[in-house]
Amino acid sequence: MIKLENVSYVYMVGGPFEKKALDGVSLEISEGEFIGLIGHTGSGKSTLIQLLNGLLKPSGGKVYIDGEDLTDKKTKLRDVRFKVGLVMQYPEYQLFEETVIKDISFGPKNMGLGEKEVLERARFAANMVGLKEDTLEKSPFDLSGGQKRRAAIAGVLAMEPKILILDEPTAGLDPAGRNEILYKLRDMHKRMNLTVILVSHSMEDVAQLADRILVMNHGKVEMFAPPSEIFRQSGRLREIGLAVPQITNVMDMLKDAGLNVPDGIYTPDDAFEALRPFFAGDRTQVRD
Amino acid sequence: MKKSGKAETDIKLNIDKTSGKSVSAPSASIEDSISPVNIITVEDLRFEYYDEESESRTEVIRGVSMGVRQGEFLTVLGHNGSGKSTLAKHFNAILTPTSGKVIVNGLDTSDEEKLYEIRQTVGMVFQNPDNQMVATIVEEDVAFAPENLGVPSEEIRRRVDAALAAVNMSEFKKHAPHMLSGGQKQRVAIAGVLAMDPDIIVLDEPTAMLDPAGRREIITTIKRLNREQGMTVVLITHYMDEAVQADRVIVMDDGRIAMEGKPKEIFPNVEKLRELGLDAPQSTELVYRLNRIGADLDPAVLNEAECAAEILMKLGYDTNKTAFLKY
Repeated sequence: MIKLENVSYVYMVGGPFEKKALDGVSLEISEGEFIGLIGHTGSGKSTLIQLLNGLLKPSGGKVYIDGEDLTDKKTKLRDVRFKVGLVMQYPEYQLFEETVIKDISFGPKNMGLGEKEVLERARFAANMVGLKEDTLEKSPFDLSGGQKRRAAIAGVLAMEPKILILDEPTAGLDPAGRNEILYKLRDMHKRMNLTVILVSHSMEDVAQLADRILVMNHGKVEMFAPPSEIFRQSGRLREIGLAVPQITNVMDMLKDAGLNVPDGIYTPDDAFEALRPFFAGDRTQVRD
Repeated sequence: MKKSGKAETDIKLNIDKTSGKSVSAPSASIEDSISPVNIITVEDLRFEYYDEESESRTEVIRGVSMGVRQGEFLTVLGHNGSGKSTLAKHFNAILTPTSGKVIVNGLDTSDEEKLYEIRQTVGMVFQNPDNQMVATIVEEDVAFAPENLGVPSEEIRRRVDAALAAVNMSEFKKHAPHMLSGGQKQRVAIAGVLAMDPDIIVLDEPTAMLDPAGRREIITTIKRLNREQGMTVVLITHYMDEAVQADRVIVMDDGRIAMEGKPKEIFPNVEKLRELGLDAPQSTELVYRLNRIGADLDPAVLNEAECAAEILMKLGYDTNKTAFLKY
């Protein structure tokens, strides 16, 4: 679905601030995968996602989306952008229409679809992100922060992209708003067979949802593996300045102290299951 | 008001306590330096918004009475729409009560003539660092408030230097704000407030738009201001890992105070927090769940090191506490 071959990207080539943002990145992502993309500020993750929908052209290497080479002059980038939906950071700042439904309709309308299909798609997208019918005729500016964010995501979803990329979709939301977005994201990934790339600073969020986690560091791929394998290398993650989930830290400390617990635990559920035998053992016997 | 450099040793102190037995107050020295006197007093505060379109009133603060003690680090938690930001905006008279009273250092915020004095007493830092920059050079930005207050220029120089030093940004004083990282910008915003020489600094979700490194910078900075300079700090946040570091926590829900107490009293209430739209820290949640199968652990663990130490102690392991500091 997505294939990068030895991709590099250099900002301000030849200038005094020349900066290599990506350096020899090769990777493949299959259709329907849920990818978590992690890296600290300046690691190259934003550059990477902008290459994927043709907002940036690589300085070197090749980017393929669905078999199409984005560096090929014959490739129509307009079509690529319909295929690859990009939800930017704080997308609610880009809401502008009079009503929520008009705002969500903007994308599909631009694709040249008929009025009926536009409306159908917009309603479907609104439903996918959990916006209720009675909010659709409201001004987007009268919505709560979490609702605005979801309306903005629906606007991209309504173009029915095959790949959905979200840059920090939960930034600035409270725990309830954050969980709502993540839950919806999991739901649409499953129901629409979307390929999803979720860019986040929150290891906890990414760990919950992703099939594989891509860790970027200094413009290179540091790791690309399923969550449990990633968190097995928690020491390395700390070394490159990434926040490891709190629960992984706890388990690492227990292991360091000699407790026989497995590596790579990253959810409270798994930690609980791993520790249950230590505590349940004699006590359940007493209860029986 | 000087307090010893405490921030770095926090984790260690708390573990030493766990091994001692149950964990109670953070540390005696902090308790001592918090004055029992309220520097802000809120009495039965109510606040309504009037919506012109629907011609209706919405009550967002529904009878809050509380105080902020001189020298304390207080966090106000609550989900979006709980009223926490509205409450914070009353502390420096951005909003004034519909009914009830807010008294800041003896000044009634409803008294318009006292507005300047109140704003000098309570400095505010907001969520978006980009909206708070007014000048094109860092030190000029920090000098903006004292210049407007008519402070003599030598005094401004002294204050700007001291404020930038306090947030660890002295070396950036000639830089352009837009070239700084989010965390650095937010520290400049804090310096701008410090340059007014306030008694209290109120931060309304100052880390919401920052990456993890930026968040750490800000929390370290405000803890240092509180511990070393005795600054009274009110932090509005929905990050639990920030709230656990405060002396005291207030949880807002539906315009009222739902919980109030030391972090160790608040966070073990995992289910109550969830009902209020908040999460407990993962460490606290793990201990909570283990206790439900009878593990009998101290529920008041707030961070990784305390959680690990508590589990190991219960299982009879010798806990080498300092080994955890690397995390």
